[in-house]
Amino acid sequence: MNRLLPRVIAITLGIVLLVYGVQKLDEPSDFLKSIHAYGILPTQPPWILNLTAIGLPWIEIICGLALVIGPLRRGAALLSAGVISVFTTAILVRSFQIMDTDGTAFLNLAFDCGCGSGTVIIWQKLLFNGALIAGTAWVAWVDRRIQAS
Amino acid sequence: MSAQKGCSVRMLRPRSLVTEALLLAATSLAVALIVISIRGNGGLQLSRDHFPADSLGGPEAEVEIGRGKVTENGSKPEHGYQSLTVDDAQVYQPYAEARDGIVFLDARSKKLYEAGHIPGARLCHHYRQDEYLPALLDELRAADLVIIYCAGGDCEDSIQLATDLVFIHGLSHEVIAIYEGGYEEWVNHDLAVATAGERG
Repeated sequence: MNRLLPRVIAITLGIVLLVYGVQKLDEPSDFLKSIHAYGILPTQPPWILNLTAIGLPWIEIICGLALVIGPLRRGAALLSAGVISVFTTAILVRSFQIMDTDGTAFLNLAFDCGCGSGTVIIWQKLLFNGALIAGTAWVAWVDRRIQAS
Repeated sequence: MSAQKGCSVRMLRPRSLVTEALLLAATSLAVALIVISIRGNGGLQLSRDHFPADSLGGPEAEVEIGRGKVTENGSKPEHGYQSLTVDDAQVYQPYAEARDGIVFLDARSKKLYEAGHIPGARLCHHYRQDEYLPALLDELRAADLVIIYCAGGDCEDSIQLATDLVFIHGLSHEVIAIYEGGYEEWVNHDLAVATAGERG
């Protein structure tokens, strides 16, 4: 049971990441626009934004595969936790910007966060991402303890 | 050489968590670059500036005709092009459909264009303009007015495409107009639309 539970959670998280990654590959320009809308990365030189839009979906896909299949699972969990944390912080910052500009209440916020699933309700997305970060961090930690024992 | 030395086996040290993560990140980027070199990547090119209206202006720049300006990081750029209302667009649309000196350009994706567009509008997806512009440039240069639209709302693809047309392809900013309400506003006014397979 101690070994099974982390694997089940890793496989579930891996499938979620795979779905998100593949969805972003469908229309890469949509993902590029979403990243640009956050205003975190500079538009010059252009390769910074472009490489992020091209590379991030593949990080999700490769990490998703590693979480499902097994090799490099701990590293995949750590990298996923890092990427999702950066994304979640960006969503939070943009939420505050929109609340500041439009006066929209936090619970009513909804926008396309570039996560691959179109317009989402932000508080739900933040909760979901929080669960993903906790799950991936837990897998990275527990899997290491299992391998060390 | 002793048999003991010949048969010695070095124990591999387990990889650290960070090493594994870096290995995966490098692999992902390598796969991404290989894939775009083989099949392209939806029009995205590493070195191309897809947001020229941002960079040609800049936070401190004055708004000039045909030059964008970013007022807040990540927000829709201000622009100096003519801005059309839905009433203006309605007046010009029949001329575009009749190819009579007016060109409507749809800067959205092919999928959205085929699902519905302003009748007479020509497809020119901003991120795939290399595919569409060569066949359109002569017509655009001869046009009295080029009206560019995208989805509406926060969509800025029309402004970015306009900036490329002026600064890369040499069109005069005076013949460029942006229909900012875009397709969303057009549909909300219950105006006629064309879909894939229909003329225009």
